[in-house]
Amino acid sequence: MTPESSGMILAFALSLMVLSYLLGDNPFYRIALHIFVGAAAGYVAIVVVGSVLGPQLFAFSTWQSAINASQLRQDYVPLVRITIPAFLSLFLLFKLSSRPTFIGNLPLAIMVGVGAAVAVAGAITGTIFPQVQASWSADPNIVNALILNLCTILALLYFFYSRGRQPEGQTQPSLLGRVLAVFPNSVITITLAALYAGALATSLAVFSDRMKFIANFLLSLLPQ
Amino acid sequence: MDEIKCPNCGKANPEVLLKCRYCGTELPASAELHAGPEAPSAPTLNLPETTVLGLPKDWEKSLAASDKAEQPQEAEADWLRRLRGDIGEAAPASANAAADTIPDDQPAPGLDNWLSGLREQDAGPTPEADQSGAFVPTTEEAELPDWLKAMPSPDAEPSALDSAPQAEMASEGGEADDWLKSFEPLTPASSPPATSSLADWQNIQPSATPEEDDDSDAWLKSFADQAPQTAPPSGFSNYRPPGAAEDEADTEPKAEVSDDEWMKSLGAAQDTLPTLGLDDFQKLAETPVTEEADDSDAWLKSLTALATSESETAVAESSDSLPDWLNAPTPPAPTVSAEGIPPVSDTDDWLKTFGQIESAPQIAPQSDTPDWLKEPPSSASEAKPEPDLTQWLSSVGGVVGGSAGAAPESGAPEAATPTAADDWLKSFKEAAKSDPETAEAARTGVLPDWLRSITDEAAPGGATPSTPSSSTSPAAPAGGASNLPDWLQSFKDTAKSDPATAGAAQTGALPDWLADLGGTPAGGSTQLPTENLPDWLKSASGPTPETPGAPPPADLPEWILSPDSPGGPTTPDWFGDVQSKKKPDTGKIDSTVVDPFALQSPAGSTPAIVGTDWLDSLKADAPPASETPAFEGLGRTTTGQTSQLDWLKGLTPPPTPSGPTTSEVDFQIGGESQPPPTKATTGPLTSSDLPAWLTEPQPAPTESPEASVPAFSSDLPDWLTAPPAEMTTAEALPTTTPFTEGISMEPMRLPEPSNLARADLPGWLGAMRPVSVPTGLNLGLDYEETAGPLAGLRGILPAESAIAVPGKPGAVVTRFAVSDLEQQQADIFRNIIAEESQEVEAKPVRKQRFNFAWDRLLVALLVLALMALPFAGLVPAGLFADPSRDLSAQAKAQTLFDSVANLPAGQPVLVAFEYDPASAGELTPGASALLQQLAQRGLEVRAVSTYPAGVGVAQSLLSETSEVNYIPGGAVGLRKFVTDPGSSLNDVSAIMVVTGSTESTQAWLEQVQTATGKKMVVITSAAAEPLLLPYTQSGQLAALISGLSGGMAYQSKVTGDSLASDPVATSQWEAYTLSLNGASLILLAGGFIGGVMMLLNRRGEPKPVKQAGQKQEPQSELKRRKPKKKKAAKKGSAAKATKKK
Repeated sequence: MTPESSGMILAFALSLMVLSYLLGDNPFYRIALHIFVGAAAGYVAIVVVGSVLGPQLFAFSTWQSAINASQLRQDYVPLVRITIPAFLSLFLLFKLSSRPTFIGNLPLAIMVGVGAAVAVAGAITGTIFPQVQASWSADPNIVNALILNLCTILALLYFFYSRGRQPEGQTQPSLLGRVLAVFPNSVITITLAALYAGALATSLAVFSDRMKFIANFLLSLLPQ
Repeated sequence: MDEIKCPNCGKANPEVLLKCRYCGTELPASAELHAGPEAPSAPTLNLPETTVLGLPKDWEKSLAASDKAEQPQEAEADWLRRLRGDIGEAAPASANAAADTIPDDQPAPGLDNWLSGLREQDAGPTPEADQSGAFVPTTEEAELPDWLKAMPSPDAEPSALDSAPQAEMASEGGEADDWLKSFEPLTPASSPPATSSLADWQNIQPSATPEEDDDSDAWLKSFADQAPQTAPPSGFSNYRPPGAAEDEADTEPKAEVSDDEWMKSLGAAQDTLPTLGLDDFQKLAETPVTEEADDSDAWLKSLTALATSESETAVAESSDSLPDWLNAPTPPAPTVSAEGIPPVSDTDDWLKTFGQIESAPQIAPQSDTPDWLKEPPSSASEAKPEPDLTQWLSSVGGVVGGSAGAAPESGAPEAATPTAADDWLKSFKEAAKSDPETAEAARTGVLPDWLRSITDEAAPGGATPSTPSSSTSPAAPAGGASNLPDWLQSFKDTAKSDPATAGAAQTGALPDWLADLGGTPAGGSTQLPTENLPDWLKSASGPTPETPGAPPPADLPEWILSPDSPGGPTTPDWFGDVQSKKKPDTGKIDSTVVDPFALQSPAGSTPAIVGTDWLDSLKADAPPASETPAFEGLGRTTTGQTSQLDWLKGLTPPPTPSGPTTSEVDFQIGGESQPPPTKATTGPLTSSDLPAWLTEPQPAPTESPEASVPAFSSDLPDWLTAPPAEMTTAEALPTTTPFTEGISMEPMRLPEPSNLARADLPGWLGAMRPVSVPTGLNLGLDYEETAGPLAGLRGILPAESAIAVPGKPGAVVTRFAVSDLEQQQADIFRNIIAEESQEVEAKPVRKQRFNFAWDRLLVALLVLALMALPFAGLVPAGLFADPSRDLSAQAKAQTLFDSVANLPAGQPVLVAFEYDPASAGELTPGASALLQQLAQRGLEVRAVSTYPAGVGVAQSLLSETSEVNYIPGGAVGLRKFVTDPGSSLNDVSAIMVVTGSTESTQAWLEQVQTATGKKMVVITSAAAEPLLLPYTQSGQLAALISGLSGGMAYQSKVTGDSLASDPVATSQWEAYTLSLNGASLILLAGGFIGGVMMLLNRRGEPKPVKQAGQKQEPQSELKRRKPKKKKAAKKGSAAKATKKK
């Protein structure tokens, strides 16, 4: 039995175990799930440690190069660049305990803040502006442009939640609001339907791949 | 005794007095202010100076002397012994006490002897004293007070009325004799007796004014006239009145009386005392009393008359020092022989003086004598022997002074008999009978002027013959009521004004209430004679039960008469009808009607006050309620029991005069004046007589009255507990009283009522009337208390309150007004609470091992089958088009191919594998084709991934030895990757991202492509394609292929082979296409089925009930329109239905 065959057998088994979820929650499914999660977690850990922590934090060479760079530049910038993240990384370890968990709040705060900033900036510059620009760009297909613009507006109107208060205390949208709320609802519904179709297609594609694997495995088992 | 002349009025007063007895002026102590020339005949008493309290001033000395006595016991024994001895010696004294005259020097036997003996004892034993046999005080008693010393020693010569004691006392010590001497009578016509004996004081004439002693002397005079001559008590035979000669007292032999004899003598004296019984009083009352000018001296006359005949001279000798008020004419001396006198000794001496005084000649009354003691001239001249008085007196003392004293002594034992007592009483009667006028005068003389005047005015017809049933109150003298108090004067005025009320004067000796106490009068009349009753009392009395219309007894006072009886007093309206309404006694307390005058408990007819049954007996039958009660509504009980003040019912008012009289009292109550009730109709006061506020409608009557049972009948005498019917009003109440005799007491009448209508009780006020609530308490007459200090009593309120009475609590609480809805809600709450307390059994539920979702399983199996069919070769080939034949797919694949083909040569290409192995089945065909094309072009591929697992995927596609960089931190890492100067992105020509999610693509686009401006192609999944197409249309992405179809198409483009060339790929494609088509069909079918079921469910749901007051939620316009149509449809259906019918 070669590793490849064992792997295939194991894969075949795990595939079946996962597909057993069609019958409901069962131990096979749980096992397969746990194996997948574990393997994935392990692989991730290996990758993170081998690719990030090792070479950038624990590697002596990194510190050496930082020091050398600092000496070369005669400043502490390279050293500071490596020292501060190192300490922040260590601070994250305090998140494991309840009492000193407040110490890990600093790196988390930096990460969240920086990430939010990057995301927002990227969203603005990489999505909003180009998309807005693309929306009013001249499209040769006017119908498409009209439909596109109309659906965009209606979709945004769908998210208008302000209501008027009646004397009895009840809140009821106005007549225009009730009328306009019909189209935005349709646009949102169509969008969600398209997304759902793509997700369905993806899942079926994946399922088909698995079926191909199983088939190939079975066929391989068959004597030729 | 010396006298002191009053500096103010000039009257003589005894020396012993500190203030004038006439005017109250303080008398000087000097002996110079003596009264005028002393009457040698008047016996005087030289009393020692006394203190304010009347004690001798030297009483302290006497006490000290007694303390210094060496042998106090012996001294006491001695004086007792001597006392007894004197008594014994005085026993064989002469019986002719009236005729005997006691010299002044000789001490009076009997009573005088013991006093003298005391004196001698005080001074010391002397041979003279011993010889005389008198009581000589011993050495210890030699220090007796002077006043005692002054008392004459008992003389050897016993005499009933011995005036010698005065001399004897005087011989001892001057002042000691004075006070006794002062007791000697002072007769106006005769000299004072030689000896000042106690009997002398009987003859003292008071120097009272005629106005003062009119009535007060009468009874005294009567006694004086009829007083039998009896011997003084034997126990006082040794007493020597002042003035008796000391020598005589000393020479008198001591009477040694044994211990037993003196006691026997005392007992004998007591036995001889006249016993007065009820009959005696009655007899006295029956005897008319003659009216005399000075009736107060009557009894004294009787006393003096006894002694006058026998000891006139002795009295004259001994009465020198007696004050005037004592020098009253002595009663006649008793004519009893001396033999009958019990062997008493000197203890009777003081009584002998009575005889001496009596036997002494009549002494002219001096000016200083009080009038009430003065003997009237008529009586003074009369020397009527009164053996009765001296006899009973001698029976007490045994000896009467002098000849008069002897007679009492002799007759003492006989006087001890009741006959002697009756004699003097008989004398009263005889005197009264013989002279009606005098009897009347005597009777009236008993009364003071003010009382007499009242009675006279009450009986303007003059004194009427006395009857047995009449009271003993004498008629008042005519025209003599100047000194009457105003309140009595008013009564007289009323009596005068109403001749009807001036009934017959009460001439009976006994009051009716006394006369009738013994038996039940005939007919059981409960009415009192109302002749003399005032109107206000007459009105309160009830009608005569026997003869409602018969006139009341004439001798009854008007105020007692029933209002109903003719001639009786009119019932005042304000008094009301206490008994008018005959309302049965229900045993309930009527709070609205409470009779303040009712003498019974509110609940029953039981008398509320102890011993008031006699009043109940006086009640007449209550008149019916129709009669006008005068006091209705005042709070009387609703009962008509006879236990209430029936006696008041008998007080009938006189006939209604034409107009209101002055005696009527206009008593308007509540603004209404009640008409005066008439005699014929007035009984108890009726409602018309009462004001409105008193005439409130009465509640329903209670039960019938039960027999009145006195509450405290256990210890009451029979006359109080007698049945009511046995006593009448006349029996219960006196016809007349000394206070009301002669007074016309008309009942007060209320004026005629005006035209004021009686106010009707408003309904709301009547509704507020308390309703009798059965408290469960037995408040009946037969209720007997069983607990507490009132145990055993009846007719009282129970001690325990209603709260303590066991019973059903809350019985009177009305039900709560609960509606049906509230009751239902209450039931619901009750059930909820009950359910909470109920135990719910836990049913065992089997755990289902396979909990199949049959719908999901079916769908899953269907899809699985569709997927497996191509692999099984069950799908015909060419059923589904080759993806390369898909135009959309082909176009996209072509774009990517051209983008990669147009990459510059010699520059690496950055390929990011941004997907995990789960998405590898969909993205691997495209990724592999990309890498194949890059390889064909000979471009360097720099593989990166932001996913940790992407590194492996990349390595699975590339060689395992290829370097794949892991970029951590997501977007931030990419940002860093971009800005990192040593990053591999700096010299790459294009960025090819193979990703399965939208976020990673957006991250690459936003962070890298925007920052670098490099061409970026993306191979993504079918799910991310809709979100990434805008980026393609915006030009940010150079190419975009998605899903299995795009990959297969790109793969076929790159390879140039069709899909069919790869059977596995074809199977996979067929499986994917078949399953995808199958899923689409399933979705459509499911949607269709769901829609149908939803519609069916909506039709079957019940419409919400619109509650009252609740507003239906507003519906949208679209929904609102529907009901209209429905209503129209319903109307149409209804119309059709009606048509069909």
